[in-house]
Amino acid sequence: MRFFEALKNLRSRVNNKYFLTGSETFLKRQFIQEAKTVYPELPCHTYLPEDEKNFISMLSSEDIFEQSSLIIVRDFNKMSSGELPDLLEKTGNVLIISSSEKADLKSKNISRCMGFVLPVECLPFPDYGKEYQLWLIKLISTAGYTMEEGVDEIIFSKIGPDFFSLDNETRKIFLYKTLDRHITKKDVELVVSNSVYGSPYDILDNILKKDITDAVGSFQLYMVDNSDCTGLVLFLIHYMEKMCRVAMLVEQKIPSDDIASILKISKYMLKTRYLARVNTLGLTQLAKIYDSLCTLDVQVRQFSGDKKRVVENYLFSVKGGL
Amino acid sequence: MTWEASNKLLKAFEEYQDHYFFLVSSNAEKIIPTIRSRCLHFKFNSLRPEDIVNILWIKKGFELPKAKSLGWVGSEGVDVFSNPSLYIELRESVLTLFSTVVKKDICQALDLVDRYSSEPKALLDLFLILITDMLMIKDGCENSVVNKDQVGEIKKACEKVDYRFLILLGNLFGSAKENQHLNIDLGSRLKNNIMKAGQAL
Repeated sequence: MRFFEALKNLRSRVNNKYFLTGSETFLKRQFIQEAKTVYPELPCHTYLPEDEKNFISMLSSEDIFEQSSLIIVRDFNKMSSGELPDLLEKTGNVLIISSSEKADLKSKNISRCMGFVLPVECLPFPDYGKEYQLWLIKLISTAGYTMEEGVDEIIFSKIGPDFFSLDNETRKIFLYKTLDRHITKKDVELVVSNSVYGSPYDILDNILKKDITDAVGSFQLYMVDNSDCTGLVLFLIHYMEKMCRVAMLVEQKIPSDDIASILKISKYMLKTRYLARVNTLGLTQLAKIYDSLCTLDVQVRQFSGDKKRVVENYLFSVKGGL
Repeated sequence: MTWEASNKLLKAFEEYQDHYFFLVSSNAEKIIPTIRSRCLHFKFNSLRPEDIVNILWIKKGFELPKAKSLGWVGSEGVDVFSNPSLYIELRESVLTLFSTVVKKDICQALDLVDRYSSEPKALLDLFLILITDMLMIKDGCENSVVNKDQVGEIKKACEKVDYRFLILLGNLFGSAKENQHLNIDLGSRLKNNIMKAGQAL
């Protein structure tokens, strides 16, 4: 089930057992936060993989079946306990189980749970960029700060689609600007570090440059902190689609300011991320890469083994001319 | 349902014999035999066009011509009941989409797909029906077209393209339909296919 539908279910208390999957930690955190506000009357117990002993002793205590509570099991895929299905079967408690990676729903342990829980996919936002920037703007204004126009774009372009790092880096700026509470582009350049791990932007930039060694390098760096190849490919597809549309409008000799407003891309992003690539490669080449990414998307979804191998294989094929 | 969950259900069947269970499935073969053998099996066939028209016209209050147009589309397996008004609008839009592709106005065609970004499946289904209708018309089988009320417009639209281009469109969009079960982003796939079609012209 999609995230927002599941959120509706949670609010109307239709279901009381959820299985959250997906590497995007932010949405899972939001869901758990929401559950705490929906069930304020229930005592809340959170279990992490390091609390596995406590989790098992909780399962063996009789109290847990008598008194209703909100039980959150985080990063379940990192736990070795196979007793969760029994808990799901016997208890009427509100249970939210999250997996830190794309869970293998066919695995014995998890498939036994599936009959009792509502599986929720916490996928990255598809409309790349917009939601992240809106979220940044809200974060900045809620914290009582003002900003120069375009600050959100620069932060986002430096960090990429990672809520966790966006949150961290923005809070760094808050600390730096405690006195005047107005954030300028210069502050961002000074305080925000470029994404430590390979960002999807780096991967695609290297694909476009046909610099395969670097593309594979940035992909491997990206995978250190992420495991969702499907989400990554989806991001690359959306980015390439926008790139192709920019190329079409450039071919029609539309001024860049108009392109930015037609495609709802910020002028900063258009100039720094899109136009340089479009002018070097041209529409035909970009469309070819867009098409190959769509094919990769299907291959990644079809492949039941380690999806990283499929992406790496694709990256090597780029050098051979796709 | 997974095999494990099915077995739990079977256990529930046996434990709660005073309860009534109604199992609904589009494919009875996917239900485990031990459950199937304990159930009374009712088979519901898909609705005929006239049934769909009657439901939309009499029960849902749609105008008869509109209900008729959806009746034909609905009999092709498109779920028109989920949002009939949208399907009425989309039937017109897929024709516009086809014309913009043929005019090579790819930017506008992509904008049109974006406008229906929440319903890419409906757009894909209707576009494929339109392509099949065009092939039917080119083959001289006008009586077999699904969009019967749009024959004139469809004929006019497909005059500008040859049979080979329509086959190419059918293959491109058909493969998107085939991969639908993989949960691919249909909107992106539609846009990619439109760009490829534009280049092929």
